[in-house]
Amino acid sequence: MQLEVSELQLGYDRLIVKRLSLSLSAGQLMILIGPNGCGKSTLLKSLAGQLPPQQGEIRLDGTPLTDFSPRALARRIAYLPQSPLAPDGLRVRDLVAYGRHPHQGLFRQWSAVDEAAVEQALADTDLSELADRRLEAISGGQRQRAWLALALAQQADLLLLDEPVSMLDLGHQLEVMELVHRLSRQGRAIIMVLHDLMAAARYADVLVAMRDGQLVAAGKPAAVLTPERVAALYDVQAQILTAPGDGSPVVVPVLGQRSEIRV
Amino acid sequence: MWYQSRTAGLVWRQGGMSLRLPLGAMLWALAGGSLLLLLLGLCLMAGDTWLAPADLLSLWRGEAPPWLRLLVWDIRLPRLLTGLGVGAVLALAGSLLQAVARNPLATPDLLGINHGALLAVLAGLWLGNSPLLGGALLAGLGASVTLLLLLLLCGRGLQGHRLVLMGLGLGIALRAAGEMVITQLPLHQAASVYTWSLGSLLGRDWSAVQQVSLGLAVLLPLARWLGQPLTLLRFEPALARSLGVRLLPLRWLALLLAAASAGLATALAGPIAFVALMAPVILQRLAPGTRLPLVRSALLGGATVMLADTLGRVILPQGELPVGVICTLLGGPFLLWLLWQAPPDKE
Repeated sequence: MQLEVSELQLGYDRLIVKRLSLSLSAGQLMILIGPNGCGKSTLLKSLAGQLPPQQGEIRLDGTPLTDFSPRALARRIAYLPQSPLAPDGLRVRDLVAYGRHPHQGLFRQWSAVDEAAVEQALADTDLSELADRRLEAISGGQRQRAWLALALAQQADLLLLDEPVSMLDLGHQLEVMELVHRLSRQGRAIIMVLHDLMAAARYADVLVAMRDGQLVAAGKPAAVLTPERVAALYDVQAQILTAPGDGSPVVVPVLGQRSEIRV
Repeated sequence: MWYQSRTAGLVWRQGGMSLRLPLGAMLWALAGGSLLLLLLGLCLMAGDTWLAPADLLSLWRGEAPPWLRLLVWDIRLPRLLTGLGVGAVLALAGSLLQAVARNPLATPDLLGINHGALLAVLAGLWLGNSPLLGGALLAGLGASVTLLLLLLLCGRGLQGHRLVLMGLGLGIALRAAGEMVITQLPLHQAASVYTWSLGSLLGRDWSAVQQVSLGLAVLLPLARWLGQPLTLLRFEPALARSLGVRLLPLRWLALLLAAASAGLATALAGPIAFVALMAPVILQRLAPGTRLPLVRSALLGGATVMLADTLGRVILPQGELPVGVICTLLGGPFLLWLLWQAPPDKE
């Protein structure tokens, strides 16, 4: 799997992403950060083939995304929008089974491969035990893992995740981040949007910082997250500490700097 | 070879082929079908002249007197079967529209589509003198044009309350236009047309049965074929697309089928309200599953119209209430209940 984005311009009426280039290979975990409205989600949507470029190109293993049929693309790229909602009454395994849709047809309704892919996705997300529970009856972290399992069952080699942990508490967030990290170590390419800079710095192989639709920096977290960069991205003065253990950068904003905003 | 899958239930596989056998759904449909036959028998007996089971039995053996044969074969049975078919087609239209709009209130009656079909047939009567029952094509055209108009009015957004509110407004306008046309018809025609415009199965014969079964034979398999991708529309569009669903052709095809269904039902029985709302919603509540319950909704819709029509035939000491009136009497409270128990602001 090799993803190449070159000189990408995206937008509706006005430009949202401007001349952006990046590349990603199998086994890499790329995390997109940046202030609200900087174009991260729009970029992700376009990488999922759901927003055609105004200019520039996205190539998957050398083929432009626009050349894939929706089904063929769904077998290569799995995209999970932000906080998706499931219809009522589904079991975990029912949700995951929908991931097989791009592999199915009129006379190929449930092959042995479908069955194996669902069980594997459930096992990979530690949900085998909970597979027959209803989605309403499990915790938020478990539900988020079920959505990931849906994407995994697609057996795509590129996963695109839009803020998969934004609604979760620390414990559940850790649970999902560890899973995503493990999946990338198993060889999948993953691009995710994240607001939490600490988690982003800890898990990203490549950290991509965006502002106003433009790429500000891309690289190792320690190289990307400098006080100057944080100020340039978020207009926030911050100090960068080093996490005990893995030495990843920890962004600590200076107190009182936005005191002109009163409640 | 047969397999029991923990996810997909019973599966048959041979070579590269694999077919699911949704056992639960099939049992439901079977039980519903048997119950329907029983109800059909009961409805055959009900009416101005009540029949006994022995009468039906004698009819079955071919020993019945001519008046009984006439009453059952030529009057009651075709009327009941037309009601059954019309209800099934209505439920189908409702299921399709609800799935595309992702809103249970998106039904051919609430969106004004039935009234578009009504107006088209009335206009046909007024301009030329196309027969009432031959109006299926005209009604289908009217339904399609109304749907198209509604989509234009709503702009690009097919979803949400806007569609339903616009549809309500459009329906009221079309209904008024229809009534205007009725006032322009010659008196003898206007009376029967007025009953039909309330939703009535009075005097439906075997040609109506033929039309509706032909329609069902085409529409039901097509809807079933769209069933799987339509199920994925229950997720948000971005997710459905990410699973490989071609949203645009799917939506257009489903809407076309819905318009054809609503047109057929309206041509045969007038604009019957609420069946298209009730049947799919009840089934999705009773048996929430991984697929849209299209066939079972159709069965329930058919049973509803047939029972409502029979009720309308026997409820008054003299004369009868049109089936459309009965369905509205039942459907109004159902709609209120649906709105009352819905979680506030799900959008």
